[in-house]
Amino acid sequence: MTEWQILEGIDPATSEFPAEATLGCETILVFRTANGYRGTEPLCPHQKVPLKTAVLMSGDTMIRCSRHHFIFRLDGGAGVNCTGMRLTTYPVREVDGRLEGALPDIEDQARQTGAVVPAP
Amino acid sequence: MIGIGSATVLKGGHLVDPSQGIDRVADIAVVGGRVAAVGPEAAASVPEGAETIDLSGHYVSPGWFDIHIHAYGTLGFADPDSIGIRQGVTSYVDAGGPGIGVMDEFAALLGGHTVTDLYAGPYIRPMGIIGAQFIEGDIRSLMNFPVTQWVDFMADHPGLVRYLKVAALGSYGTGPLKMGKGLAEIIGVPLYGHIGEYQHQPVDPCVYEIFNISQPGDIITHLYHANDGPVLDEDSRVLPVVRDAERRGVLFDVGFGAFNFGWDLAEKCFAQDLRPHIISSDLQQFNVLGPVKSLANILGIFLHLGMSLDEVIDTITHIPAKALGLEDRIGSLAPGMPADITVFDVEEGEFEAFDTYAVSRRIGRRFAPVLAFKHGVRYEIDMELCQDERNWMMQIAEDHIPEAAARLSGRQREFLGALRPALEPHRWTYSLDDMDLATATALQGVVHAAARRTGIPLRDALMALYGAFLDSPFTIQSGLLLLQIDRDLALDRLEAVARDCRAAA
Ligand code: FES
Repeated sequence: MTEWQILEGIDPATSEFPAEATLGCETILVFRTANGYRGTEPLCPHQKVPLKTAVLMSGDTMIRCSRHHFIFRLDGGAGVNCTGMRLTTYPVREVDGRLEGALPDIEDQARQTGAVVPAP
Repeated sequence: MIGIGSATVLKGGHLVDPSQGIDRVADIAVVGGRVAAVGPEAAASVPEGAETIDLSGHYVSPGWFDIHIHAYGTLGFADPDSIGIRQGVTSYVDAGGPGIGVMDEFAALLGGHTVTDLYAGPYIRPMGIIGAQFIEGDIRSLMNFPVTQWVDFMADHPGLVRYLKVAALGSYGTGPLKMGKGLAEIIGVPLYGHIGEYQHQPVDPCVYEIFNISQPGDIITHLYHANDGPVLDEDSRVLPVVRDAERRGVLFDVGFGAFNFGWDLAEKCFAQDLRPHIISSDLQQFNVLGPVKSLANILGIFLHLGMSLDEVIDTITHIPAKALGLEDRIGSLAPGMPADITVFDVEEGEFEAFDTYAVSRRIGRRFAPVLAFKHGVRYEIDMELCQDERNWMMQIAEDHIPEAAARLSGRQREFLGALRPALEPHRWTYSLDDMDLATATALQGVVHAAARRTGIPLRDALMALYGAFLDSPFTIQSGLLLLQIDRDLALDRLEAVARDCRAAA
């Protein structure tokens, strides 16, 4: 079950997106897309370049790192033109003017990588 | 594309042709796709009524030759001409996309199928460059070293292969480099040594051995990279091993790339007069949106660093042509040469030019191609064409059947129908950490065997495979493509695309 937590350091009304926020003790990057909000790890899995300058594309379903143009799906984080790479992504929603985030859905990401999901 | 007939005069352009020592306004007569005359006698060398194209105010040079691009494989483009003739580059070399294990695919797909003359600079590793993640440092990707296969391929495809690419990386000492040099000698081409980015692999001291192993006429690329193992020492002095190689006649190439040009390092090299013999772009999927964009886009950087226009043109025409034994075809507009011609402007202003580390400088001049001619045929320039997402973003169509599948012929569907059961006994999964090249090679073998059984040319079979899985026709190694596709998806898709054929039968 998704456990939502309030994201600190971000305000949907005033922040410039993508914006960094704190989720528990993790820093995540939040994108505002045509399909709602979505969180990602803040650094590109390729060479750890900040994704703050990444560009939304394909109807806001993917982001493209501005350094070497690796593309990742916002839903699940799969590498598109860099098969086998994965970006950690986080669900984010707006509730009463504040943003809430949750840890990545482990089960969903594991299913997409084909990895075995550990028993709870 | 507009044909200009069999005779044309290109009038009034400022010709820069270092091969002939020409740097002045000169007319050029083109007859039957070749240069007939240059200078005052040009007009008299064409029949009456020949077309005249006024190039006043523009520069004209031999067609640009980029010896390091990626057309084939995991870094390549759906439309290789988009980074060639459409950007003023009339000939180029694929730098390491294929290896001997897939040279038959490369030749079938790209040999003679681009307007831009495409030569091969295969990688020593049989599968070629195998991904954006570059795990070639693993000795296993050398696999077996099929010398006789190389020799046979060279005999069957004379003139296609112009150098052998090796990478000075990995953790197996200098053995692979020496094997590369040995193979280059056997097949009679220069060694083309990659220094520079190593992705996530540890840098091995063998990086500097490439300078010792290289002989006169061999080429080292990525000269101005600022990653581990640069050409400067800790005090920013050019390393003696680099100077020694330069003195011996080893050629230095820029190979700008996605990872391999640093402003600061290049400035320090130029301050010590360490200049490139050849400028190449290393254009690929991962730098076409920036910082490279085109060969033209990086040329202004070298004017800024202190090279003259004549020197820059020499590095993209005559010098590389001579280095790769192509001076009878490329790099000069002497009478009798093919009329491969680039028309360009040098614009003045203030332009921001980025290196591959997101550092920029303001430069005062930039190159802007205006027109290109290939064998005398005129092509319009479109610098942006290559940036279309469908041209550089290779994406496996997981949730839909690509439109191209609808255009496959009955024979192609029949091939896909035969491929499906042939793949059935094979199991595969894709892992970056443990790339299963043996399985990729086995899958490729299945593809080729199915093509033979169906009696379909390899090119048609490969285009059918791409049509079933890719929205744009990227020419990637067939086994590597299959390896990246979930097995169930692959089998289901082949079944679905082949079904139409069976229904029709
Ligand atoms: S650092 Fe993001 S693509 Fe290379």
